[in-house]
Amino acid sequence: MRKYGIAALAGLLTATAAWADGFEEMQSQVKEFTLDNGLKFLVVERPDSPVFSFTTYVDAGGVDEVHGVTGIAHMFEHMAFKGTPTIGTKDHAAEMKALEKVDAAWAAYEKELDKEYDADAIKLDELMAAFKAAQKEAQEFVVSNEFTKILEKNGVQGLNASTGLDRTWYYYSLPSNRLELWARLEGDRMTNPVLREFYVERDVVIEERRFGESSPTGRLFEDMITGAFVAHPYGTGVIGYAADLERITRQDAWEFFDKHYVASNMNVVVVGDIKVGEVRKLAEKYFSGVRSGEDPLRVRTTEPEHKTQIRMIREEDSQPIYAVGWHIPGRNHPKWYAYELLGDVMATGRSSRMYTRLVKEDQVCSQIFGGVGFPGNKYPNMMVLAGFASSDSDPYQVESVVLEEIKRIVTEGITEEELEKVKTMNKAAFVRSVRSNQGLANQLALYQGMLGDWRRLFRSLDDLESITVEDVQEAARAVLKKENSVVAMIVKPEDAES
Amino acid sequence: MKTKYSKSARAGLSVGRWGGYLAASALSLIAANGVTAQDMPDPDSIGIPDLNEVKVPEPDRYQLDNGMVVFMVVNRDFPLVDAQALIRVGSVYEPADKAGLSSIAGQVMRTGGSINVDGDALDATLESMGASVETSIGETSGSASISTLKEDFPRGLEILGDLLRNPAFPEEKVELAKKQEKTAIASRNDEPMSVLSRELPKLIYGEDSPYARHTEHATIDAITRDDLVALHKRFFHPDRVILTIYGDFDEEQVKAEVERVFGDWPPASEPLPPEPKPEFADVSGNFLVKKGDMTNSFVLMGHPGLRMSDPDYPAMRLYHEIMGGGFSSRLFNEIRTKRGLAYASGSSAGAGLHHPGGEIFFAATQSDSTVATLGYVREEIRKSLAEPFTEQELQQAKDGILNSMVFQYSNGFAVLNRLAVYEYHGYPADFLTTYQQAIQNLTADEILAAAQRNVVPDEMATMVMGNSENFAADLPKLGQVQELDITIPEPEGEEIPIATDADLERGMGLVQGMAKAHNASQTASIKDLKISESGEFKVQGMSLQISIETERLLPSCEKSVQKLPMGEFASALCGDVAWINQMQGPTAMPPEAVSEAKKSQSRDYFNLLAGYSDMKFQALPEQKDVNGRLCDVVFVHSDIVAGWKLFIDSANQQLVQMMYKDRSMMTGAPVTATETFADFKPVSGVAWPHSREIYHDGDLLATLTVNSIAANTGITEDAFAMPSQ
Repeated sequence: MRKYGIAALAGLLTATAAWADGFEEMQSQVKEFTLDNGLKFLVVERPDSPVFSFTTYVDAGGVDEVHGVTGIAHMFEHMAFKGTPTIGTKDHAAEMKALEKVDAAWAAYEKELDKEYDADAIKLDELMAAFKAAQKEAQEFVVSNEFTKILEKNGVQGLNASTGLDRTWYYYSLPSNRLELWARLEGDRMTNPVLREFYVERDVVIEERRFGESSPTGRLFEDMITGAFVAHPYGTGVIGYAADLERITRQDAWEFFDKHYVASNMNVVVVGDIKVGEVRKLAEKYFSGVRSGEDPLRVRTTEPEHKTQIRMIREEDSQPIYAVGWHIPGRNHPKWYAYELLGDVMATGRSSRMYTRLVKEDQVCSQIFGGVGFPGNKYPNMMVLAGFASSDSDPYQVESVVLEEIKRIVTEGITEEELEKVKTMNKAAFVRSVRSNQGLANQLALYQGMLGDWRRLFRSLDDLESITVEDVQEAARAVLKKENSVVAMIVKPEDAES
Repeated sequence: MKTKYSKSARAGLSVGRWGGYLAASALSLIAANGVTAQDMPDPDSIGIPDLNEVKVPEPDRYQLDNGMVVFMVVNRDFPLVDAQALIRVGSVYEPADKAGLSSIAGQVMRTGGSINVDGDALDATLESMGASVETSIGETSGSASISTLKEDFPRGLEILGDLLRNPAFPEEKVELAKKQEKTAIASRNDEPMSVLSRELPKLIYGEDSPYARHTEHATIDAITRDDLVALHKRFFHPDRVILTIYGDFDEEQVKAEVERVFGDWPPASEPLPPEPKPEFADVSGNFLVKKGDMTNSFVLMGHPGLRMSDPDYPAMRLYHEIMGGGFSSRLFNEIRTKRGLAYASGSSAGAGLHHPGGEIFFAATQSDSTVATLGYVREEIRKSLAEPFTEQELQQAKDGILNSMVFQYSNGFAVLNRLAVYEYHGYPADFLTTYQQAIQNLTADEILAAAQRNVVPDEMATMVMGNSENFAADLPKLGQVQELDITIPEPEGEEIPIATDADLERGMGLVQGMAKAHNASQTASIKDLKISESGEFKVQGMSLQISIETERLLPSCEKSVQKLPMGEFASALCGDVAWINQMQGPTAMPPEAVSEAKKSQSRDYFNLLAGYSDMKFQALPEQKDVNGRLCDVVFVHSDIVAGWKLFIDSANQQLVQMMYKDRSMMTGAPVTATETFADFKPVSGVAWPHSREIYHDGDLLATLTVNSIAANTGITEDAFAMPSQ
């Protein structure tokens, strides 16, 4: 058994040791190489158990979409499970022709639909029938879910992918004797996706959207980002507008892929009972086809300053919730951890200020949650606080208590003990997060993908340690202002202010 | 409306898509070692080397003298230690009218701290160590766990032991937990999944089963701190605990710590009460849960499943892997992939380690295809029972389960906890290995036979949940459909803040002031009363003249004759005598009316003045304006009357108003009644309100004025006997 620098990890517990030093041994185990096309790989050998996990990170998410095509990043993620020219088809050449017909049939239907009130109803029906017929024809060539079936048969664990506003990642774990199988499947789908069954999957995503709408908290947070980000694409969310989802096309998905799934905009991390040399050999064989291309630009739009508080109030007969968010800088801000720690002092743990006041003392909430990074953190985002009102309370009462605590934190700042506590909590959380193969793979991929260098994962501990109570108070003063905030509430109709 | 973007961009996209495809192919060709899209090897042709040896951790198991079982595994990869105690306790043991007791005890065991450490102080201590301690009690087991950095483990273990052995269960944390649970009750219909997981067990085990029932406002109200203390005393003993410890520690040192923390904990002196056995209800039928705010629907079919110890379990595990286990499953392919109808679909054997759960088939779908989707689910079940699965399906499912087995052994903490859980539920330690072998050997015919034994479509409940307006037209296709009422019963009384000693003292002070203002000491001189009142009674928009003659032998005999335009109503209550006469001759008073009459007696003005010194009053924080008079508000702690409050004029200490929970005379529905008192005149020295107004939910019900009142007229118990026909 290896130790991840136990002696040095004692740095965890002594304030004097530099934090990054505590992880030198772990850092030294991270091996990197870059393929000719610019695709970076990170590998950590952990021979304890004959399994491995990986993460493919794509630095593109909902935030990189444009109006009219919202939801396409997530849609593409679904398509990445649909196979390639060699996986998921009975006859690729014939299928390609059939898919062209599907695209053409949809385009014809959409052209008529665009005539709006002048659209010919009979023609629309015919075009829809033709579209369905083309889909049916293309479906004949499909071997359903072959990609996932192969993985399931091989004992895959945690097969999934997720699309956020900032990023898309793909991940799973396999027994370590399946390394080549993994490289073949993953390299292939990141290079040669076919985007078959697009329009069937589109309906699945529309259903997924409904799933979210059925939850009151889902509705509340959709309100919140809508109010908070009027210009910045964080405001449109990941899932996409229902009207866009009904119209997005296979071509839209291709364009997104062409622009964002380029080698320099991605990275792959593999952690487990594997050898870096072997990974490199397989990466060259199976990932060299990932297209090199220009790194897409960051989103240009920044959210204009809101001169006044925005309030979004939903009257419905479900659990009343109060949520407030304050605009804060993005993850790359030099004092990012001042915001992160401020959020923790306020809302992380049972001894946090808001939990103590809202849940334990005033009992106006049955539970609370909060923190930074809503709805993403690559760009300026929000620090949020949300509370479920107790049965004898309502969101207005919650708000009055929240405001008292906000005032206190702005005027009095936080204590040294509080700062030490939240730093320790973060450090402990860090150790726990890199314990599993998948956890370490995700962390390395995230720091490499979003901040450009995986070493920042370890440096972040020093950044965290350097924050002072003054930094936190300054952060509090800078952002905890009424005009910088957005409030979203669910109130019972009888409690609503007229 | 067309966006500027859509046309031009779309036109270009087609080219972009081909451009992308060609560029990708071209690049693949020139990549030095890369494989082109068409040359990717067949996945089945890729060699699979032997797997490196799986180092299954072998836990050290031993027992303390007091019977506590300990499993430990050392793993020094990270400077962390995790420990978990499994405790033989569970909500199935709790009385039905206190549903929620175990869960609240599990929660307050942590939030309330121990007799040595206050719960809030514990929060701060643990968080500043970056550690966590959690306790909970589920249906058939309890758990207490800790996770700490290596150095803090001895302290963490000490805290764990202290909480398990000496929980404080302070009143205010009990009340807080009750309040949180009541908030959860109020919103329990918000999330569709929580409605399903609550309603399904009721169908499977029957509504009143310990394995299905759930909390209500009334069951939470009934829980007291004493119940928690008694639960702890009854169930928490070391001979009913299995402790697992995993992480970076010195084994001998930790053994010593365990001995120090738990060694002198005495074992149980009484045997465990017998555990209630789950019984299965007849669940067949169609059930509808209306949930208007859903934009999609859930459909679910199921009946009781089996216990994991059942010989059919491995076969049924494979059956459900093929039917609804994942991306390769039949339900996923038929409903989601082929038809795009469902976001979620699947099935489960519902095999429990402890008892059989619900064997279910389900899908989430858009509202208008609700009934159609259900049809597809049924069809798949039918097919699965008619013909064996194909060899290919079987091999796929077996490979999936067997190849992923390495993950069951690769995580030491998981291995450790699995062993503890097996021991807890009485399974052999090699259960997983036996299971693995059984999976390996099963044939398609054996699975079909097992499925035919265990899946019985005719005995299944079919549940549909969603906005039924969107599929109302299709519903009759299902045949008879019974609607499940998920209405949340209203709380009995409003939330009253937790009483502090100061609140109680001030409450009694206010009532004493009121008693003095009304000359309550003179009540001792009154043996009986004869009261004649008249006034107006409002019912269904009509205003009726009423007169009431009341005879009372204090404290608890009362007879009243009410005269209304439509006739005369009489009733009497005196000890065991209780009768009514509603113009059809006297009959015994129905039991629910007796209880209402007793409630009415116990909140009576005279009895309040005569008996206040033995009662419990709590001053509420805010004052209230009643008809222009500023009043102090006192809550009366009463076992009989709910929501009883007194409003006492803060200037002259007169009782201005009472409030209490009552029932509507017309509909029997619960109402909040308020009764105002005015025009006080002495009766044998006691100030007696000669004018009363009664409101139900804010609407005026009756106005009554005393015409005459006489004390000590010599009434005897004979006056209350039931008259002959």
